[in-house]
Amino acid sequence: MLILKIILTLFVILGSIPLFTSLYQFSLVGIHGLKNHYKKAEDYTPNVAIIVPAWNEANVIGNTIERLYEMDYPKHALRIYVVDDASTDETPTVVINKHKKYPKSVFHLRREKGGEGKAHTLNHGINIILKDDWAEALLIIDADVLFEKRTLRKMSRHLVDKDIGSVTAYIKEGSAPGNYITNCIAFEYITAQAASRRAQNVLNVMACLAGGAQLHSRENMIAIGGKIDTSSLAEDTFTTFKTQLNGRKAIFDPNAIVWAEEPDGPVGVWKQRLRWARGNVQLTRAFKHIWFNKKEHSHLGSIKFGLLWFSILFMPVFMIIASIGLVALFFIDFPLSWYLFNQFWILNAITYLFVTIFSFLIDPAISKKSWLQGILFPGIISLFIIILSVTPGLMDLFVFAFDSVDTTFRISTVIILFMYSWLAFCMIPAWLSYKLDLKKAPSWLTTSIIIITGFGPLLCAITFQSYISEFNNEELKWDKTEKTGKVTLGG
Amino acid sequence: MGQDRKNGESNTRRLRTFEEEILDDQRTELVITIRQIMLMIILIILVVLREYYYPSDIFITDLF
Repeated sequence: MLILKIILTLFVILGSIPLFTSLYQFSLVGIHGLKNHYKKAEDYTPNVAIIVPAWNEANVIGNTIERLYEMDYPKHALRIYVVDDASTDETPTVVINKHKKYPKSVFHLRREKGGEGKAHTLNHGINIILKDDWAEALLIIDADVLFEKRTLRKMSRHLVDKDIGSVTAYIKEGSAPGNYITNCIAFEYITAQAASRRAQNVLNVMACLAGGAQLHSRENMIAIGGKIDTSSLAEDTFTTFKTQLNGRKAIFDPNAIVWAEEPDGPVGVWKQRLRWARGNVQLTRAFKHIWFNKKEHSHLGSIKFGLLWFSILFMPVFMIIASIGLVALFFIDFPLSWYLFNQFWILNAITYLFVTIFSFLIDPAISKKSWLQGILFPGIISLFIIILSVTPGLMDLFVFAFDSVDTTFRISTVIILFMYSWLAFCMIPAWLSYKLDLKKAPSWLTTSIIIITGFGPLLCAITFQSYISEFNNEELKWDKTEKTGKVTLGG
Repeated sequence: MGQDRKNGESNTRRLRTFEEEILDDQRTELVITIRQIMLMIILIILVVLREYYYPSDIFITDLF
C-alpha cells in the first residue's frame, strides 16, 4: 500500500511539471532585456525574396501584396513571389494585376497541380528563387499576414551576423472585429510567442519559427537542403530544427510585428491546432535521437529545452495522471490526497497569477483587448478552484458547507471528486464545444462552454486528439484555415 | 556631387533611424525586465504576507 501511495503521489507531482516549466520559462523572459541579439544587429538590407503561398486567397492577397510593397525596405532589394497553388478563385487575376502594377517587384508563380499542402507550394517558389543568384535572403509568410512598415528591416538586421540562419517575428492576432475566441488567441500569442520565444532566445534555442513570418539567409536555406520538409504537418518546426542542427541559430525578434487573422470558432481552432499538434508529434518521432541528448545538439538536446518541449506535448497526459493520482488517493488516503490537491492548486494559482499578469505587462496593447480572455483563459471552474485554494479557509468552507449531519451521503465527497478529476475532465466539455460548433450550434453556446471550461483545456483536448490521430495513422490532410480578410494592422 | 551629398544625408538619416530603433527596442526589452522584477517582488510579498497571517494553512512554504 505504501508503494502504491508513493506512485500515486508521484503522479500528482508529475502533473505539476508543466506548472514548474511555465514558471521557469516566464522567469527567463526578463533576462532577454540583458541577453539579446540587438548588440550584434546592424543596418542590413539584403535582397529579400518574399514567398507567399496562396490557395484561393483572392480576399486577402491584394492587400497583402500592397502592404509588403509599402514596407520601409529598399524597393530594389525586394521581390514578392506569390506561389499560386492552383487556385480556383480570382487569386491569379489579382496577382497578375499586381504584377502589371509592380513588374519588377511582384511575380506570379502558378502550380497547375495543387492541394498538396503549404510545404509543396513553398518548395515550388524556393526552387525557382534559388536558381537565381539574386536573393540573399528568403522570407516565408502566409497569404493573409500584414507586415508593419519596419518589420522586415527589424528582421533582416540580425542576418548581418552569419551565425544567424533565420529570424522570426511576433505574430499578433489582428481580426477586426474580433470575438471571444480570437481574443483568446491574441492573449495566447503573448504567452506562446512574446514570452516563450524571448525565453528561448535566452536559452539559445528556438522551438518553432512562426510559419507566417520567417526570414532565412540564403546560406541557411541551402544548408537545410534548399527545400521545406514535406513529410509532416509542421513544416515550420522542421525547418527550425534543421536550421539549428546545421549549426546556425534561429532567433526571435519580439519587436518585429506581423498581424494575422486567426480562427474565430472552436472548429477553426480545432482544425488549425490539430495540424500543429500532429506535426509536433511527428517531429518528436522524427528527431527522437536529439531529446535529452546534448551530444546531438548542445541546446536542442538540453534538459531545459526537453522539459519545455515535452511539457507542452504531454500536457494532457500530465493532467490526466495528476487526476488519476488524486482520485485514487482519495479512496486510499484522503488526508494525503487533500494535502496534495491543495498544494497542486496553490502552485497553479501562483503560476496563473505570474503568467497572466506578466503577459499583460509584456504586451499591454494586446492585453487591452484580451484582458478578459487572459483572466478567463483556464475557465471559470478552474479559476474558482484557484480562488478557493489561495483564500484562507474558503476551500474547507465551500467543500464541507453543504454536508448534513443527518445523512450518510456527503455532498463534499462529490465536490471533492469533481475537483480532483477536473484537471482531466475539463477536456471533455472543451471537446464538446468543438462538436457543437461542428453541428452549427449557436456561437453563444460554444463560447459559453469555453468561458466555463477554458480555452487552455480546448488546446489540451486538441493535443490529446493529435495522439489518437497519429496512433490511428489518420490521413495527413492539409486543413487550411479559412481567411476572410478582416485582419488589420493593430487589430 | 550634389547626388553624393544627397545620398550621404540619406544614409546618415537612415543610420540615425536604425540606431534610434535599436535603442528603442532595447529599451522595450529592459522595461519588460523591470516590470518582471517588480511583479516578482509583489508576488513574493503577497506570499510572505499570506504565510505570516495564516501560518496554519497549507501554503507554498510547505512545498520546500
